[in-house]
Amino acid sequence: MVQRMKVLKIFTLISLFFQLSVTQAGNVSFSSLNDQITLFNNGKEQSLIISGNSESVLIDPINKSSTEEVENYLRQNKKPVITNVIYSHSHWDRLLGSTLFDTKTHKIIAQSACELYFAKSNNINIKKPNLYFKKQYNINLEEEQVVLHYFGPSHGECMVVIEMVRAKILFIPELVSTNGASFPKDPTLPFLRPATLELFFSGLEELIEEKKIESFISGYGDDEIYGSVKIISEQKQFWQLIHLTAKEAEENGLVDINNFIDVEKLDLEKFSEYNNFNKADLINILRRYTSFLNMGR
Amino acid sequence: MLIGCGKSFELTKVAESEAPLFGKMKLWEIEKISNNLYAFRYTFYRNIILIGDDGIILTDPLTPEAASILNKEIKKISNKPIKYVAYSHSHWDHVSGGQIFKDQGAEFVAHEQCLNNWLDNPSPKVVKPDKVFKDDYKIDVGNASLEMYFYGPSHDNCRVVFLTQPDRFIFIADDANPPDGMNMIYGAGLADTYIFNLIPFFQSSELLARKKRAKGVIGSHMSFKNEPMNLVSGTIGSTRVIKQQRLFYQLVIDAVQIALDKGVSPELIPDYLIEQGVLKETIIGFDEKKMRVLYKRITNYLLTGE
Repeated sequence: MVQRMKVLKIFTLISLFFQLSVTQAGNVSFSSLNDQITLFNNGKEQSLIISGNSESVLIDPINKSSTEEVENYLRQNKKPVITNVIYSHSHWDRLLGSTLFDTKTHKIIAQSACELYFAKSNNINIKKPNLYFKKQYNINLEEEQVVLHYFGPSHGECMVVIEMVRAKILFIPELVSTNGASFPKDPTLPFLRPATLELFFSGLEELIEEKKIESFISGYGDDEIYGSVKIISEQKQFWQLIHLTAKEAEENGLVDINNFIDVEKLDLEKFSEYNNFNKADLINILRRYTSFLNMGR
Repeated sequence: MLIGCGKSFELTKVAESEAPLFGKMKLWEIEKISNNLYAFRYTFYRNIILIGDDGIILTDPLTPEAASILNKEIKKISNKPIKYVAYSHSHWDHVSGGQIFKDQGAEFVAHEQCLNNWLDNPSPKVVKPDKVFKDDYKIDVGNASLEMYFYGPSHDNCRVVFLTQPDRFIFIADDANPPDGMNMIYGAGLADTYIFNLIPFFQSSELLARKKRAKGVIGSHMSFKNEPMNLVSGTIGSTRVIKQQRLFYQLVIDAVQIALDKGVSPELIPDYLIEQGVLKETIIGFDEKKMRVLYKRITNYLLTGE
């Protein structure tokens, strides 16, 4: 019986390997999720290439070497060249490979609120977008449709969520990990927009409900490939808990003159359920929220 | 006392609370800068009042409690109508409580992006503006006026610089607080701050001060002198404080950039700069804990552009 289970396990693993074919090029791994969608991962960040019959779409040219490997991969696998480059948001650390593309021959697409950052930027390593959109943008490939959705400021001013319609998958570059609802990677929350964050998550939940989407992929290189969309709601609940805690602390006089909350006076058990729970991080996260309650932003 | 172009400005306290804030400081006070210009401080916050022949311009009501006190006290100073309330930016801790002035018929004025902020996230305590503008705007009440200038997002995405006339004082909410712009800042995480435009913002403010021959700066917050425990009212000060504030941010950005260029790993930059004692003798009231947060924030900015 044990031997049979062993064989079955090995068989399952081999099947999965062939369904999810993985190749390595330099420090970038490529996982073919289906005939159209390929995930590439450089260990730190990951993103997607979606290919039709005559063109490919790249989400986030993360850096030069990763993007060169992406182009090599497409060539070697006889997939069409990149014609559309999507910027999932404005942060340079996901766009450093953009100078490999030419605005004369490529569409470089970003949400319109990103223009605030790109217009005045003098970073020569970042190609400025040549196409801005407001709420939604569609790219029709023959076998797949890629839809960019904007739900308001969340992580930065202009982050979008990308839907692969036929595959029923979402790509969410930041804020949610496929490993589960968690504390944020950077507890100082430099880019968080608390005023519109819950609206972002609600918009995302409505999309998921409407399109019956079940899985998402994140932009984090150390994440599991797929995560259940349930994690998105759980992550939303994390931020609601933070918001409520800050509000209650304010009402109960637990916020000091520097806007810090004495976390020793809080019930930390509900926070400990989240991945990467850290008391020191919680202090800083709550501080951002007491500032938000003060300022409205 | 502040001297500018032959005219000296000496603050005169015209009213103050019985209730203390701490030490000798009172909960609130009103100071007269000139016949046309007053400053109202409530706890650590300040706004300005302009009185002209045709009426009164108020700025930033602060809170309902502060506004109620101001409403009562201003009527002891002048019987002119409160015609306008001007908002310096959209943060609730500066702009709440204006309903008492709205009820008197005051017109509320703000930058257009402030209105968007309040539509996205309304507060029942914040009166929405009647008038919004894009680049600059002037409110006139006869022989006094308030000029409002927008230089792009900075602290908040709609903060404007105030310039009072005829006395030519500049007011920059949440920054450039006399006596010294090199003081350790309060919010080291730079929440809701558009770092990429901070230096250009202050450069434009300095240019405005020079072009308009500003006499001085009025601080939006109480500040400290020489060291954090030595709190001072900081009502008025030299326009030098605007340049000092710019230099504060510029020096921090440069320090982090140099560390990045040296190959210091981004995660280690706060530790590295603290260990090296960078800016320790330059920033007044240098606070190691706050500086770690600030260095981390600036590192994030230099890596992402935001």
